[in-house]
Amino acid sequence: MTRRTGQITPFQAVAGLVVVVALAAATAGALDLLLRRAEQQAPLGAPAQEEADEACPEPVRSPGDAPVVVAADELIECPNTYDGALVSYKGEAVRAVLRRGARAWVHLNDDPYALGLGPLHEHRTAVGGNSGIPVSVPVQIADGVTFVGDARHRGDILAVTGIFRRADPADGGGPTIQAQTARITQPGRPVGRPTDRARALTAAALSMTALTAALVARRRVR
Amino acid sequence: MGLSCAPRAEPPRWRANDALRPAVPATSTPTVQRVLVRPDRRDLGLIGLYTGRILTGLGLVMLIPAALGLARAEFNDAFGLVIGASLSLLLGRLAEWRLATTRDLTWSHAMATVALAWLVATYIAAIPLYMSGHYASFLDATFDAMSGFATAGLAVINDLDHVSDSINLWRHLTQFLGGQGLVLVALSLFGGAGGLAGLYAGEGREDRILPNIRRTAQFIWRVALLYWLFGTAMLWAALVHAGLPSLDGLLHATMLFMAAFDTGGFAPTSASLGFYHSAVVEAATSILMVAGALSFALHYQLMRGRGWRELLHNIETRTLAVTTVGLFAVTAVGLARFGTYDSVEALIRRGFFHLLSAHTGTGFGTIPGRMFVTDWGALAPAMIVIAMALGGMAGSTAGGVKALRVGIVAKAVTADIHRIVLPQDAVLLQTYHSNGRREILRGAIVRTAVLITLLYFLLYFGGALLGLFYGYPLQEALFESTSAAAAVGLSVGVVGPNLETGLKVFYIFQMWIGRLEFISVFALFGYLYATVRGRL
Repeated sequence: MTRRTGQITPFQAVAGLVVVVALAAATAGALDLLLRRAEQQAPLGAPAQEEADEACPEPVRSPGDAPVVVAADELIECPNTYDGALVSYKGEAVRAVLRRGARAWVHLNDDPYALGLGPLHEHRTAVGGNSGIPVSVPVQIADGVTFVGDARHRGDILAVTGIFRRADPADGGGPTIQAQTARITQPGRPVGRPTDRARALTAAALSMTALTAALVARRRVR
Repeated sequence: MGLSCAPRAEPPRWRANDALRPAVPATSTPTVQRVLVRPDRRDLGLIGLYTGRILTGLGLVMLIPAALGLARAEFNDAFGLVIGASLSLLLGRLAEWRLATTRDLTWSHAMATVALAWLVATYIAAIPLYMSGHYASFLDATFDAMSGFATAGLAVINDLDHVSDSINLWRHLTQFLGGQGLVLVALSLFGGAGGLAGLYAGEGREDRILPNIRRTAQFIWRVALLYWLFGTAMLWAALVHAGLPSLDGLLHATMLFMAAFDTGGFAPTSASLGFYHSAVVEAATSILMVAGALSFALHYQLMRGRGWRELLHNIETRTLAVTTVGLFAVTAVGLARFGTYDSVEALIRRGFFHLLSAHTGTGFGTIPGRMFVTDWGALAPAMIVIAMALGGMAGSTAGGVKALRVGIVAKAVTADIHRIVLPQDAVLLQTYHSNGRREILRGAIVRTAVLITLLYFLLYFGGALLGLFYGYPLQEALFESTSAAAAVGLSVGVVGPNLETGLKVFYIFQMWIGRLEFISVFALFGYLYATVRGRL
């Protein structure tokens, strides 16, 4: 059997595939290097696996009891346990404060990015996604919130005590805490992100190369 | 190339999509053999050229969030986006330089191009995501990029609430690009010499709205632009009414529009739509979700003033109406059985909204996903799974089996029952209404609908089996698998930064093959196989 012009042998096909995969892996590796160099930290490790689910405790509903200190994960995992209970909860105000008349909605995250380590890009330790719960607070408290968490800020930390509702009628059936008392325990702050020069240079070099390639391709096609 | 039957004497040069043609009965050609022709450099070059054109389109779009990043002083993320855009443009232009040809795409080239372009585009789109520092590995960034393109909305990002606006916009733009169709973007920008029908169909679009594919692409963009203006304005007003500042409201409205109309499901905050505590916002997104789940062919009919007649007679709108009402009725029973909600408002804003979100393939949530497991009992989440599995209309941005196939299978079953009841000599002609005309329900159409439905269910169960292997309960494993394969995005908490690597890889595969509706991915596999095993 004779080979026609332009025919590909199986060896060439497999070798080509290997080269493409190797190039893709090398590009990803180079990006990783660039990222690590910028942050001067170890790469993000895989987050620890969550512990096995535990059974929910008995419902907490006695009106005279002291507030139960809770985390958002507990409220979501065991909504019936805490439904109607007086709870104490703490978290970082994120994204925005939504004012509604005499009250305002504040979404409070209580994950390690909020209460422990701070925003991810400050420490580069992956601990999973965000977890939080919406809290309705008096508008006077909301007015005191200076920073909400976003890319440029670490938000104020609020400690609230209030009634948890699994399906709050005031929110059309969503899980909420209606705060009776709330205070800012730790003010937020702007988060600095110094410009990474190596990344800027890489971007400039690649964009110039792409522009050159575009011009050459245009001339060739003409 | 491809797998087919040919006479021994003169083996013709088959193409990959020939595998889709009806097999020749063995009795009519007794001396046949399977011929698999190996593709040559010109075949691969053509696929590379069109993949490059799609990458060029992708690179240009990536400059939009890069500009936002520079304007908002998010320089590191802006540089990451510029790096991604430059690589994309570089590959695209290199392909144009080295592989330019006047040859037309054949159907099989086009199918393989679509499947390959989606993979390469996902890889490129993951670059700025990974460089944002919010992903534990490049695989995680790839997962979110594919989730965006496939309009799934599942996410494994860490600390979303501290992500920059430019990266958030890029996440949502991937949904807009994937929903409208990556190839459609490239078609609109660069066009092509021929074979455009294959590229168009390769992205799971079945309806030819206008006789010319390029005019069809332009029409789809016009519809998207119209909804973008209307939808963003509506959402902006709703979000400002909900309490967001004007500028943030505009940004959130733009992102939510892309996620709603393209049935994506990403949201700017980790609490999804639950963040806004607003029935008005939920109503506005519901309108856009439904609009996104309607086929562009139906939008065409609506714009031509045939709206009500078409809505009443179209097999897909009828099917969607029946399944939505039926599934919601059972969901309501399931929620009532567990006493989850005690008001009609809560039932609508939580129960119906999530059913609509699932059925349209969007994936927005107004409660934390874990509460499907901890607060909804067993029956209501099962209805959510069924709604996700069925999906929206064919030729829309929704995933899943699609209402057209569900309707056709239902009609075929009804016809078979009728045949049993009718006299033996009676001739039964079953028809259905689609795209403004009445069609005869032929055996080949039913067979294709059943085949694709079967493939989807195999995909759902395959992912569920892997979930079981990793130790998740059946309910959760099936929920997540269906959500990925039908490109929905609702989650009961399995998908997240802690997701096992094996499941990440399989869900990426599910989102890819589910969004492209199998055929183009099969064509790409056929090409790979033929390259190694085909004859010269």
